Amino acid sequence: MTTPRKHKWASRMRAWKERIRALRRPIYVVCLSLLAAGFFAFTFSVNRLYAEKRAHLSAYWFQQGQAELEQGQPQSAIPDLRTALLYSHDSRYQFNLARALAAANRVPEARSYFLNLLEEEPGNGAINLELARLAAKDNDPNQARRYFNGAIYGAWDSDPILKRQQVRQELISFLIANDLKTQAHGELMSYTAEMPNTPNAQLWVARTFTKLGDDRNALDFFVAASQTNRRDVTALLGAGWAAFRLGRYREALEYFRGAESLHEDPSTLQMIELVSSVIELNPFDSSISATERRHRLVLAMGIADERLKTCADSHDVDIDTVSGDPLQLARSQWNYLNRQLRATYNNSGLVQLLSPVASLITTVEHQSGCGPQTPHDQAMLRIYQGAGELQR
Amino acid sequence: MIDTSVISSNTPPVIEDRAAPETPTQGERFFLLLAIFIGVFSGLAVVCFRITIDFLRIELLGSSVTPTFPRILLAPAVTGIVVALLVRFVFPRVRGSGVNQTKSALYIYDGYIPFRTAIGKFICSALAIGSGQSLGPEDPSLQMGASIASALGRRLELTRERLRLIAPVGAAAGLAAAFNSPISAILFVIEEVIGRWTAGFLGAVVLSAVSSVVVSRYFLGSEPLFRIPAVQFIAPTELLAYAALGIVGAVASVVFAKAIQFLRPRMKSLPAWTQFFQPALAGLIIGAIGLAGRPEIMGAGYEFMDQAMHDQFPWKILAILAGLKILTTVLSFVSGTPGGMFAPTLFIGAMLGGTVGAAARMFIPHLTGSIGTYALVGMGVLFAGFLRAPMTSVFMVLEVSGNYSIILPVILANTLSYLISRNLQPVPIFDLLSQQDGLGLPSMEEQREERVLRVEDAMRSVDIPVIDSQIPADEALRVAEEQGAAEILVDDPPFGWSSLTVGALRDAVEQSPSEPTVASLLSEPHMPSIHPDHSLDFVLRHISQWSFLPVTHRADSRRIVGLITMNDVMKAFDR
Repeated sequence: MTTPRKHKWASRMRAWKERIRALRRPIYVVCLSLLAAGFFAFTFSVNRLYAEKRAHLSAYWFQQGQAELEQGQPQSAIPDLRTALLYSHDSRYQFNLARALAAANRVPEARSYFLNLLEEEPGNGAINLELARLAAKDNDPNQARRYFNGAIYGAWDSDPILKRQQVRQELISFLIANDLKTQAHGELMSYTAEMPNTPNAQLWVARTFTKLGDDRNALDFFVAASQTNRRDVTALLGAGWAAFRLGRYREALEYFRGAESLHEDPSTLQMIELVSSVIELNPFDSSISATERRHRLVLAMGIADERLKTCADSHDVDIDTVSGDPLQLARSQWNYLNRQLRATYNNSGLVQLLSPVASLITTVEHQSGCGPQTPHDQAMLRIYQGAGELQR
Repeated sequence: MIDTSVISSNTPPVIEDRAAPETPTQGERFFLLLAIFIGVFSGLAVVCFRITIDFLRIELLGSSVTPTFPRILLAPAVTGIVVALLVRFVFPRVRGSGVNQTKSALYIYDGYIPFRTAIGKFICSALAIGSGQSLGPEDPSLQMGASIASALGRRLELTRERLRLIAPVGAAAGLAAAFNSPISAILFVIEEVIGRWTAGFLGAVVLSAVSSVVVSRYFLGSEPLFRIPAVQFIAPTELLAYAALGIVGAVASVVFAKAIQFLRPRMKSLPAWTQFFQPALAGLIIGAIGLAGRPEIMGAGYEFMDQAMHDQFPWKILAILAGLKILTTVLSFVSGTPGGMFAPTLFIGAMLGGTVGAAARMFIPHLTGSIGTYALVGMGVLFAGFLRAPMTSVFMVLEVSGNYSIILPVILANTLSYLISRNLQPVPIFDLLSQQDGLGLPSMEEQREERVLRVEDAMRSVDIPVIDSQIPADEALRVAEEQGAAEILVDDPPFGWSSLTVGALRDAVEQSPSEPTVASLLSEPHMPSIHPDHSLDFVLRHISQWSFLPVTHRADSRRIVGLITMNDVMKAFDR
């Protein structure tokens, strides 16, 4: 009885073993899956700890670097920002590292980072601006303009309008500094279309037009600034000067007097005196009568005579003889014009005399080594120099 | 001198082929499934390894990218002693190259790599790299993958053949996760470890590499190892600069290899007690260089390769870094500190590439390639010249840059580097290391270069009668006797070729009452088809049953181009 039972058990065991053997592969797969899941969970938690640590370290080093950069210590900021970048490839970190490199005058390194960032975000205004500044540092106006334009038309995280205006201002300053005045004028005109209506902006525009030699627009913006802030002495002085250069002396006098009333200043007073003299002595004024014009020309000839005498004394030249000296030639011309003037009373004859008188006075007043110019001399020069352009 | 301790300690237990009989398809399917698991486990192990290295670096050297005194000196030196003790007393098998240990498993130990090796590599390499030793994590990752694969293979009772192949499968997974580049890892394992392509093996390697990269990308992000700047190649004249880079890279590779070749056996032959201090001394020197202002050479140095690619170093610094990295890596490696040479190789290549790029720009300012492009190509150049993996080097550069426009400079520079370094240093670095360790591992480069003897090298012209099988036997006998042949070759379409001895033919003619044809006298099977391009190995497998074999044309099997005998084969081998 025992032997068959044993045999039965043995065969059952064998059958079980066979079944288990047949199932061994699926069992292996299940075991491996469980093992992989466990390992995965472990790695996941380790990785989370690691990620937290990296985030903490990157933030810490970024703050350090940022603070140093803001304190004007780019050299110290560079390794800190590099460390921040080691723990996180955040584009802010790269951007600030590049800024620190640029501030430390490590231009090629900075450019490389900015270009890398630009590759990721070609329309980013801030990156374009930084690249424009680097190109400007490298005296590469073409690249600088390209990147400035990228910044003007690029995307900005906050205050896009203000940022674009600032960038355009920077571009204009850059163009002026590189003597690209035509392009600068164009950009300035574009800027005026979008500029904020603040006295500072208006003053900046007015000054920039002045730098570009566009006194007409400069005057408009100085006036606008003075109207926005009626107590703005700078705007009034700017308007005065612009009007003076344009030959609009009465307006200029008005602005200088306005400025003087707000802030007494000897130089402003001098200008008021000069402008007043110009107004009084200006024979080109279309509103004056023939008598008044003749009177002004006579006065001008008198001032020229005085100046000639002073010059002759300084140079020890006898101007009443003729031997080829420029002063003697001027004296001959003066004598001739004086005779003409004495004989002329009608307006058309006086107008014809304006040009030769202007030429004589310019020659006389430009003589060097004749001592300091009197306010009248300055006024004369102002009136008669470039007489054709003056507004009568 | 042969390191017998390593050999004896590497001797595995005898592995019995315990696998139950199974159909090939079942086995292949399970092997492929197992490859996926190997990839997952290797990927997870490599992720943990990378995290551990970073944690240790932060703890030992501080979190700043520029470590400060006294950590910069003490960390590598003190950790060096700890690592030496661990290697000496706890994990003696972790010393040496992971690539060679995987090859040993494949060719010597039937796929056996102790799991303890993986643990040892993990701990010792993480400590060494984390403390600033000039070594990389790729080779240990490769070996960890191989170790995990081997352990799983043994536990799951694979056949001996599969067990032998499983270590390279794991190696590919480990390397793929470390590099985040599956193609390069697959190619490297095929090019440097296994040396051949077979469909089953390739499938397993691909599956394991892909699954490990998926895992590592899940945890470490899908960003490539390096942030590659815009890569462009426009002017063909620029190829001259890349050719120069290939030459410079080859010279650097040879210097690097020769230094290891010279120093490693000498360091190993020093008294045993010095082994405890060699890693510490190497660490101290590395720390001193770091303290002197060049901490970039410490550790794997990926972040600095990245910086070099982004034009962050002047060319003089790049050149200095390349030189110092060769020095420090040689010191770390020959001191017996566990760790790999992949990352240092890439580091040196990137720095040299940057140097050559900057120099080229000085002479030819209109060059289009950025410094980053040269640094990238430089990496491939050193990979081809020093590690002698030309195919992998090309694909690695393409894979990490993701830009095919750079392919021409890469191929040119890598090929030059490979060819020049092969001439100047005939023994590749992995073969050199295995020779120094007394292991007779096959050289993949030699295998690639080995000339295969073919039938056309041994065959001779047809000097016996060729008879159609349909003619009568007596006529065939007459022809054979006229030519004095002892044997005839019979064309028996459509069955192929056969032969008959003149004696057999004569017997048949004399004994048969009727007139038999030659075909009726032929025995089965017919002769195998041999073509001129077949290897002589192929001939040897078939010739034993025949006194000669006909060599036929591939396009027309009835056209005889020659004959080959065993004697011809032997003569060819003798030549």
